[in-house]
Amino acid sequence: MDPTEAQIREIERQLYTSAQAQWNEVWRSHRWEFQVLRWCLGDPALRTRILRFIDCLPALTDARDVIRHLREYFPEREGRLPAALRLGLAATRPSLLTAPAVAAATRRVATGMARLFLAGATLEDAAGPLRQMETSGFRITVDLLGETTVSQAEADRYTTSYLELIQRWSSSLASPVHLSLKLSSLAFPFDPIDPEAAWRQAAPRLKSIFQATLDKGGFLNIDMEQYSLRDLTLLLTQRLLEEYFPSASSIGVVIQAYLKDSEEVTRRFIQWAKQRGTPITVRLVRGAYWDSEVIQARQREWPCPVYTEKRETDACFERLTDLLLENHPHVRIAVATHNLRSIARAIVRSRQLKVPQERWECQVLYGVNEAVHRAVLRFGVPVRVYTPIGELIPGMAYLVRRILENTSQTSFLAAGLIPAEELSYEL
Amino acid sequence: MSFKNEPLTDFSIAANRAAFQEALARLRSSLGRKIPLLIGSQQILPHQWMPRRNPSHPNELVGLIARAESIHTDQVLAQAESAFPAWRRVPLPERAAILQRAARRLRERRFELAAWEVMEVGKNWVEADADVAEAIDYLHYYADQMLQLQDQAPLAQVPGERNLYRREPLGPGVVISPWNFPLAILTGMTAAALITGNCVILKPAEQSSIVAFHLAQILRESGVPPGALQFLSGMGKEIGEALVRSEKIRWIAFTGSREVGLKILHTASELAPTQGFVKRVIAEMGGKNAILIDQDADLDEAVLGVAASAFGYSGQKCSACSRVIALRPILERFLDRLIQTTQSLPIGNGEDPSTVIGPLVDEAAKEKVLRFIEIGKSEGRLAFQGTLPAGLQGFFVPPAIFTDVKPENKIAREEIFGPVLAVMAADSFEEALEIANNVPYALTGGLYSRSPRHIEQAAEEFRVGNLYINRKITGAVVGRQPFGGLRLSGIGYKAGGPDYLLQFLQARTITENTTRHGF
Repeated sequence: MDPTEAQIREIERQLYTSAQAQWNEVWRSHRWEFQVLRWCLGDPALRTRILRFIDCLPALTDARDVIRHLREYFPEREGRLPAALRLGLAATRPSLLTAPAVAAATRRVATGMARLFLAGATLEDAAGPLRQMETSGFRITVDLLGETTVSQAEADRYTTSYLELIQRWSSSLASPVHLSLKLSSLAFPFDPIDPEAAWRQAAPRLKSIFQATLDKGGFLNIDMEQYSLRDLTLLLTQRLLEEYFPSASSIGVVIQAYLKDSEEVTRRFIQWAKQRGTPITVRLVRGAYWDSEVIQARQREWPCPVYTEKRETDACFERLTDLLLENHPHVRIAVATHNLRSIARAIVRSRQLKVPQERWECQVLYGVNEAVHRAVLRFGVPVRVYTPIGELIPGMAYLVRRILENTSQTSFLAAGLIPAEELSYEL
Repeated sequence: MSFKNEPLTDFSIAANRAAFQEALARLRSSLGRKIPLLIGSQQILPHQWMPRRNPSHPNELVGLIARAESIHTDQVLAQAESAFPAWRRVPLPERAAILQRAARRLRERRFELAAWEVMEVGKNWVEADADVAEAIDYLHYYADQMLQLQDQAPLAQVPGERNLYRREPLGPGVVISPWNFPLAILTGMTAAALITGNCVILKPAEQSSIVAFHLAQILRESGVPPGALQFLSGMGKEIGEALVRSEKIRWIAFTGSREVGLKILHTASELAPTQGFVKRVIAEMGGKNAILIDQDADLDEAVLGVAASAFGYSGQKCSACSRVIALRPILERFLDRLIQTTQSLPIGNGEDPSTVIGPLVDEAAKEKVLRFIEIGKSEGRLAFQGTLPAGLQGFFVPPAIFTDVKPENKIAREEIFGPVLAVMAADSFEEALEIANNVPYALTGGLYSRSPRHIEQAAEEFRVGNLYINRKITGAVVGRQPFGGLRLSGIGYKAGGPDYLLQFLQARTITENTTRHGF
């Protein structure tokens, strides 16, 4: 075995052992929720229905409506009633099994689940968990969950809510502002058919958010979405920096390793960063839209943009890890994964390439496989937790929708149950 | 045989955007030419011409279209009649090869043809591109379908008897096509008639005759004999009626307004003195399509789906959504977001890539829509009307959304064919279904709901030709969503579906006793 590979395996083993040691503590703090999750997601036939039910739950306005949908989604008799709901009902006395009681129990269960993956409804609501993470040594980036932006008015509201978050940040958190943002929420239409029009609309909003972030000494990450928006997203980010912020470095973009052309795009981006002269951050992820990319490509008879074998994506992730680390004078690197092997490789390669620690970090998802978060942190690698904030039940529905779009990624939820298990879900 | 849909163009790829821009620029230099008639093997230049102006820029002359007169109708009819015996005997594989060749040519000239649509009828890039792709689909699909039909041996056979079922073409016929899908609908009707061995006279809408002329040329270059496919542009009143009335015509395939469709049915039913057959009419005649918004609908999806269905190509689609019926609890929130979305849809010229709402096809269409908006103001409440950006010169009407509309109102019952949407409230899902069904049309319909029971109920009771659940109600795809309406929306089998070709065929059964005396 070549020595690098041997080192990677050794570090992966150490991380694994450490994660296992963390597991009990994580389990204790979320015992009830994990039990519910295990019951819900253990049955594949039931799983899709549960996810679909949660998806529509925020739209149900009154108790009768909740009951009607429960019956439609789960027509089985009592014995097959979703475990989650039975558990929620257990807290209610049988004599109180009225519609409002069942509806309230349903919402309580969903809220409990939501709390696993959302830090809170608002920054203030999330302050507790966020501070605790900070105290434990984690770094944080916050993503505001919301409805799809379907008008310019909504793009304005979205911008405002980010600006307000920036202003209020320091009242809840000690670390500087660190946000993750989707450009599609800042413009409507946001259509690659006319990059100029997308720029005209998104630029003023993006500029104001980034300026406010800079004023607070913070950082803004531009998240990546579907493949169709990839070039547009990079283009707009680069143009923003060229036209308005030629010397800014507190901004990041995302590279998705599951895209077949990601290596080429990364090389071009590094070239651009080199010429620009000021390094910015690249977050490396595997990619979270795999199912919908595959489905859409097939529906449209377009070439499939993503690797169809997971090991191809894994291999690409490793190549890109190397490529980015090799270029550490020109880019900062965020290795976003829960995969211990991927993390171990980044650790080994960064040592070999003598990458100063301030130039790279690990990023993980809030609520997902916390044992891994802790293990990596203990290893001395900075860990930033990608933390969604949003109204709990609607927020949960948005997360669920992402899972429904990516049915194979239900492992994202299930993985919370299995220590140090390999994850397919990525930022 | 495995039919595959022609992919739409991915405009997120810069090279495709550049190629489309280039096609538009190149076309600009060849505008204003004369478009002749194609009668037999002759290109005929008549005395009269109809100018076609770009709906986005009425000062721009796109072309001069030949205006046929009655002498020309006599000529095409004679040519079609004499070409039929030879064309019907062309072996099917050869006819199929011709259609496939035509599909290849369409593909080679894809952006050029789409650019023509932008100029001639004011489509935006995406709509124009999709129309050309659909035309390619029809050519492949019907060729495929006919080859399959040919292989079928549907009859029972017993010893001593041979039963044959032979499908034959009807004879010469006329295709009367609309301007709103200038290539796709025209190609669909024409390809179906040709592959089944019929002779076709193309009588395209006046507003889209240039695109139609290009198709006629492509089909001829691909090997359709001159008499089997002729091109006769002109005014519907002057030549359309004469064609429909002629005893040389066996069938009429029409897509257009209900008024014209019913008139064609009437005229076609009259026997000429020496006419020894009944004409077959296939007529697709519009809609007054509704989308239901259930109270548990996913509004992110519903708002985008309704906006696309109602205002795409400025509502000038027979499949377009012109009514929304929302359950009362969700109505206000839905409407607020829909209005904001509609307000954000870019209005502009067809050639501008960001345009979602383009011009109406001509002055008359604009006047008609404006009249309906006035009617709407007296019937309901104009909840929203868009504003036109400065500097637009074309036949633009900004989108309008009416609320407080009653099901019996004109704007809730008549086809407007423009960016006008009537929003109604329902107190129950059952009432919503009833309002939806209670118009004379039944073409498309939609439902946004997350209730499994309501989805099932709509599938059963929302009786339209094409029902779409949790998606937009326009954009049927050949072979995947066979398209066509019920009731006053049309008669005939669904376009792009497995039965469509049967309309252009008649069957003969031949039974032979194969036993011989003494056996």
